[in-house]
Amino acid sequence: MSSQPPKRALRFLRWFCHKDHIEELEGNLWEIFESQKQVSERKAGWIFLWNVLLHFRPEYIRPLEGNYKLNNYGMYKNYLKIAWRSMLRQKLYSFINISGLAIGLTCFLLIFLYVQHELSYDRFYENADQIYRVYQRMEGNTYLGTDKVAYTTVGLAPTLVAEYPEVNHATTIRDRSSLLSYNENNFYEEGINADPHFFEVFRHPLLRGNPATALKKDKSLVLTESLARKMFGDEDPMGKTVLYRNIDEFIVTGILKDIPTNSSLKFSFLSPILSSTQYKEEMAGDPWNNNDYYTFFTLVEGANPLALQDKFPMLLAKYLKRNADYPFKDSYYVQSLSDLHLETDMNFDIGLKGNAKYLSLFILIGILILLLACVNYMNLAIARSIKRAGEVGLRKVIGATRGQVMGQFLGESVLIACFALVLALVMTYYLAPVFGYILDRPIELNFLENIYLFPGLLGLVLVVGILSGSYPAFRMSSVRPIQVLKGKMEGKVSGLNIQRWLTIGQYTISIVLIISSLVIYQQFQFIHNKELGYKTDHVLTISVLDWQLRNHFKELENEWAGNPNIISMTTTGELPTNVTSSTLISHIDAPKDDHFTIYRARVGYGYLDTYSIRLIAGRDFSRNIRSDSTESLIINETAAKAFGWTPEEAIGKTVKDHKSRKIIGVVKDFHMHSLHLKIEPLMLEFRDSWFAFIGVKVRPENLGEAMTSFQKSLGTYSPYPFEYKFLDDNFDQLYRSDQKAGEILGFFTILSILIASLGLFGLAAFTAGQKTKEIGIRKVLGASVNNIVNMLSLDFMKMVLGGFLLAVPIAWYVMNQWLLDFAYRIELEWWVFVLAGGIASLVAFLTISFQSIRAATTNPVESLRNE
Amino acid sequence: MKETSIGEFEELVLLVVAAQHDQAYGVSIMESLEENLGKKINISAIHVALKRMEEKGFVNARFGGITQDRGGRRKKFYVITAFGKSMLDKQYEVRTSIYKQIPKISFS
Repeated sequence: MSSQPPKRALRFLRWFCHKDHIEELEGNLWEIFESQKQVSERKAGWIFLWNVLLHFRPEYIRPLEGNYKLNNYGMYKNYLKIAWRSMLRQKLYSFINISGLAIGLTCFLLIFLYVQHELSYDRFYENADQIYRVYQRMEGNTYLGTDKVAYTTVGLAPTLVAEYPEVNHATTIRDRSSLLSYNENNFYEEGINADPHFFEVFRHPLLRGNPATALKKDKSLVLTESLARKMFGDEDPMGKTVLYRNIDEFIVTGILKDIPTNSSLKFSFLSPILSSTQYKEEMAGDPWNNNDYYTFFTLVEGANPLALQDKFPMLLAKYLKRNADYPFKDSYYVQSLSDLHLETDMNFDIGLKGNAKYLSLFILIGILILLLACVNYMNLAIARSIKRAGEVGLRKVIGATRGQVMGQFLGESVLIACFALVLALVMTYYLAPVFGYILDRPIELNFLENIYLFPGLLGLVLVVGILSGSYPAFRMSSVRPIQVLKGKMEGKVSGLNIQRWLTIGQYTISIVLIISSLVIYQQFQFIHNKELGYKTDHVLTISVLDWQLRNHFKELENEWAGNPNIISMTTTGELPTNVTSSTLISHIDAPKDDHFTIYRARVGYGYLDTYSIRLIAGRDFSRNIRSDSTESLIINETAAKAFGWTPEEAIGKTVKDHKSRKIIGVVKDFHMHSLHLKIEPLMLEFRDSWFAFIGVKVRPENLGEAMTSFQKSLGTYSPYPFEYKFLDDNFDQLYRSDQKAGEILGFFTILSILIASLGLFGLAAFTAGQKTKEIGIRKVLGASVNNIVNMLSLDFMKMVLGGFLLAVPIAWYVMNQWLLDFAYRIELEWWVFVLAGGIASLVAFLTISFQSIRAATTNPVESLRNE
Repeated sequence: MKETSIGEFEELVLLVVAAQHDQAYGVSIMESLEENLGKKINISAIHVALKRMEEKGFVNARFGGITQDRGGRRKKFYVITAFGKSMLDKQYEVRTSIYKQIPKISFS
């Protein structure tokens, strides 16, 4: 025969085609091929291939198992079938296993998504790993618990580029929210003042405009896409004139893509820092004699940031001119942009902050909860192993090797983990936004944006499946077939010890979590009930966004003086919840170096009344005494003590910071920072020409009415939005991250108890099942229901107790560490531990007793008649 | 018993099987249909139709002997069953009876 149909096509046909049809099909195709060959051999080959492909359809494809087995597919199929059947047969166990694992996985996934989001901050820049910033330390100027300051001088950025070849770009920025107006519509937006090099460092893509020139000219403005749409609708924004801060006209020179949610720098517009008079003056004067700007820069590839940092002392020696009596020691440091989000130990820092400590805590909890769920699986699988010993025995007799049996059971646990994962994904999908809402982060389950998520999840399922299945598989595969098939199941379940320890471990974790939640809750209660030294009730704080409002304050004050809803009002630079300004102070006659740091609040008349701060000596600033506004100070108790005076002695003394002033009053200490920090010396200085907040104490009865009248009268003086908060909101804000961590922890605690209870429930059910006969005989011999319930529960309660004993020292240590962070804190009390133990025991007891009472009340006839 | 309906193409194939009594096999059916209909028909379509009709019981099959042709593969011959024939008859009757109802006028 001269030529044959194409070999590959033929082989393909033989491979897929069902045995019953192969002869007919092949014959007919062959015949067609031969007749076509007369015309063209090449074409015949193609037609043959085409015909073969057309037959590749369900009617002819052979079923996967085929008739002659070249693989173990049938065995695998059997494994699957058996796994499925045993799952169906023992619905309770399967339910417990799958739901427990699903809950564990859900927690893990939620935490994973959160952690991933937190770690993704600022990594979206193409040059992310080359961006750094400079921060400084002012040794001797510890303030709010740290001496690190994110501000640098305005002269730094240009000098870096000029002096160091490894710095290729540097930019000076500061964050300024401002009012933008277009066509009488006002928008108060977060913005950044940036120098023209901004886009060289932060390569945000511009949709319109040229990054090289967009910020070069004075009074230009770059908007994000969504702000542009908000302001201009469908009009073309480029070249439009926008009223900036209600005074200047700025021209839109560029449109940015919206800033990603995981950016530390949050802004909806950029304006040139060149338009700032302060900047211009400081650049023209001594550029190194100020501290109000952030400096970011990029290094050339391969340059070592630490090597650059080592050159900073010389830089400072060259440029920084300090007086001989300058009290602090300055030093500059380099920090990578990617560390910015989790850097919380710095004052005046820019950007949205995460909390590295709570992040690692969450990771730990996520892993622990997943472990709890795995332990559940292990425990139940071991318990069930007795039931399936016969199956294993038979498999072994037929020729299964130990490895195969292990493989089977590992596969089974991976399968269950898969089911759990599917459930967990559904739950995560719906819970992620809720979780994100609590944490104030945009968290969602998104496979498209997160290409590594899916393979990662598969890996997770494998790890979870193997982790939880390994020990049961190991045990199951060690069954001796002869003994099992003779019916002599090993009387003592030797896995019990391990099971016991696993359960104890579970309870240890749960109880630690319960104790932690209780302690955290207690600490928050403590914070809320603590005598703060000021009253937060019904005090409204209005942010003064518009500096022009200050010129009209007299009118406003007169207008509001007649308002019956207002008890008192004041102006302040700093709220009493958070005093962030400080200076150095000394006694007028003190030697030169005898000074200390004192916090400074700039206040107007009525400050003490509005915030209900108690005066313990002297008097408040008075409108009737002219010198009060320039020559007087009020200090707090701690400050008096720091001078070495009693409050009464302090009155009339003269002290000086930048000028000398007389102390006219001493107030009782109040918490001017969060309770994380101790109360420090504080002075109140009179300043009504500059303020950032208007504080108003209102009568609670007509709150709504008062608010609308405030808004209305403010509206007549300023186009800025009416931004207000109640003082207690300001107060709560101090503890937001703690509070959130507490809430999340509480949530996970409940879940962990749930998982542990599920496991215990399964075990109890199993033990009760195992002991049916024993219970029957005991009852026949006269045991009461109580006896039997006790017998069944005691063992489990012992395990809970064991968990409790292990948990106490761990929880004690962990919670002490946590509390150390608060300068004002509760003591750990013994009853908290007992309460936690009590809760755990109660939950455990309820879980077990359901099973044990059911077992104990069965009629012994039922359980014994089969004998 | 599977569904006992018959598709249009299946009916054509069945007609050919009946016509070529006991000598009908894949390629011969294809050739006959191509000749009668005047268009190309793919062998896979014939195979599928034959397989379905065999499952429905319209045709029976037998294998022929081994020859030098066809790569040594046997032919699978199809023959119509009584059930298949009655099916054809019914189809024919339905069509002619409806056809007869067409009024004798000219259609534009």
